[in-house]
Amino acid sequence: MNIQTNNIQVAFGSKAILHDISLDIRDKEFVGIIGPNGSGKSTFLKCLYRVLQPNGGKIFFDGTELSDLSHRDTALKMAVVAQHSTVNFDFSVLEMVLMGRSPYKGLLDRDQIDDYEIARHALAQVGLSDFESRNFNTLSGGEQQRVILARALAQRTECLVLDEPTNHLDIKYQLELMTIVKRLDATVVSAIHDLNLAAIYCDRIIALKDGHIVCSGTPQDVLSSDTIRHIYGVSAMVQTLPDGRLNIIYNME
Amino acid sequence: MLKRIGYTAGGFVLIGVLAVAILWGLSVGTVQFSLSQIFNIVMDQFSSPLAIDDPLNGPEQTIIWLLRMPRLLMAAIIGAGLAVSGVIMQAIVKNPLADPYILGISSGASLGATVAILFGIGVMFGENFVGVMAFIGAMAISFGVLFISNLGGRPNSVKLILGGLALSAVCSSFSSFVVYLADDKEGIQTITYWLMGSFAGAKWDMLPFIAVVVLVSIVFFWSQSRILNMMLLGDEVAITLGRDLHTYRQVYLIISSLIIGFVVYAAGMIGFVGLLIPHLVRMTIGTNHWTLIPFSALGGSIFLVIADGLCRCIIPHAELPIGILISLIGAPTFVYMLVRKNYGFGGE
Repeated sequence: MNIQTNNIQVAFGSKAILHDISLDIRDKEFVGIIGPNGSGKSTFLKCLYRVLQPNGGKIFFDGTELSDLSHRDTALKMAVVAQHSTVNFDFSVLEMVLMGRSPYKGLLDRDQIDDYEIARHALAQVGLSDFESRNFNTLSGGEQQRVILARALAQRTECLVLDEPTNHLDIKYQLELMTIVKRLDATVVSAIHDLNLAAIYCDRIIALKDGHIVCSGTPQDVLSSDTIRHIYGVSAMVQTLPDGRLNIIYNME
Repeated sequence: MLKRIGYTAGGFVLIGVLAVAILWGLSVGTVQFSLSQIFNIVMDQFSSPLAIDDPLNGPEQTIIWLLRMPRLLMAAIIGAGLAVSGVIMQAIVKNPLADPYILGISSGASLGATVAILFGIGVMFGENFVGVMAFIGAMAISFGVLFISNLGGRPNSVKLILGGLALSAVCSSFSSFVVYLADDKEGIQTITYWLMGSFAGAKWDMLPFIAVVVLVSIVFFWSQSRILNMMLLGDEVAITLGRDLHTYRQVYLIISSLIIGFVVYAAGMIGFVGLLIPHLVRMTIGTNHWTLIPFSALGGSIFLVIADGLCRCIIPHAELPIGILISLIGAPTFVYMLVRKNYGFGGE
């Protein structure tokens, strides 16, 4: 699925958060969005997954304008792993993942055997098969995050939007989550804090600062010490390993 | 699937328990009946040419058919209604501490009842004009809360709760003001009794209507379990799963208020059921509304039927107001649930 945004603008009151964000995300591309806190990464993603209505600009999914699609249509095309949030009620892990099947269901449809299979498969993908009857609220933050990813996987969409998905995960699961997502053969748009992770997994990186796109391109193009200093105000050294991968090392000043 | 069969079996067991509770409720009170007596009296009616309210019926017939039967059925219906609207309110405001009265409905109903009792406003509504006025008060405040929460952007759970809080304060102070102005000791006593709730006024003629309203609402909410589940995850998650909850929330709120309005009309204020039963059920079978709603309905029915029976047999030759009894049973049960470690109300 390709996503096109034309001059997306968002302002809260008089404070502009996003200025004219225009992007063209190609089918099956893995796009990472980097930028400091408050640079507008989440805001941009929220426009994509329709929780936020931009003040200006248009978004197209496969050429159809977003506002012409029902919420259900969008949910069939795009799954979301948002930033961690608490749920005040206890659902079992399996119930939580099964909710990913909601867009496929009418109000009165029950979950069928294949819905359970899809949900269990998604749980297996995130390594939580043994957790299906546990209560969601008794899990650790990282485990909850993986359950939410499983729910998004159970949605079986051709596009995945991730908002700092690796926040609560230990390094093993950070890599595992990104690998799972990478292997999906889906269009992925993800806000990422960890530049090394971004370097490993992204086909393209978009750097945001103060609601503007500062630069965009392959990890090799974007992740230079100059850009990192410009975006984050941090001094960093970027090494290119013999196999072409990047390694970013931060310097104390 | 095994789990599904288990739930169905559990449902039938609870229906059985409800039937037994109603039988027990028919037998206890100032006049005690044995099971065979009840059976005979009930059966006689079906073969008798007399209507159930015919003065030619014997006293036993009257006690069972005119006094106990309608109030027990009313208790069962209202218990189900209160428990389910508790479940719904908790989903609407996304807070496990909500009960059916959280949005200030109780204060609205009290204000309605107070002006009815003290000033005789609404006498034209007939015999149960206090109930009618309470119903009007309850509905008025629900729509008021809905209106306030729609001001300045979309309503959310916090706006709903705070709006309810504000309107509730206004209604309470108006009630106090009315009580102060009227200076009517007898009337104040009537209000106090009314606030304790009772099924003693239940009659056959209002039963079918309330039963239909409550049962249809419960079936409606049952059909909405998918959306109710999503509601607990929040509006943003619901949108990513394909539903905008905005309209649903308002419709649910109105229907739930309607149930409460009728409950208040028929039996006055009965607290705790709508908080206690949903939590008890969640504790045993979990949060999924597909099972939570029918089990809460049955649980609420059983609870109120038993409570009504107890009210009539705890004090010899007198009836304890059901509100008092429910708080007496409900509060300790609730505390017990609070201290039990493996149920966190999800609040951790």
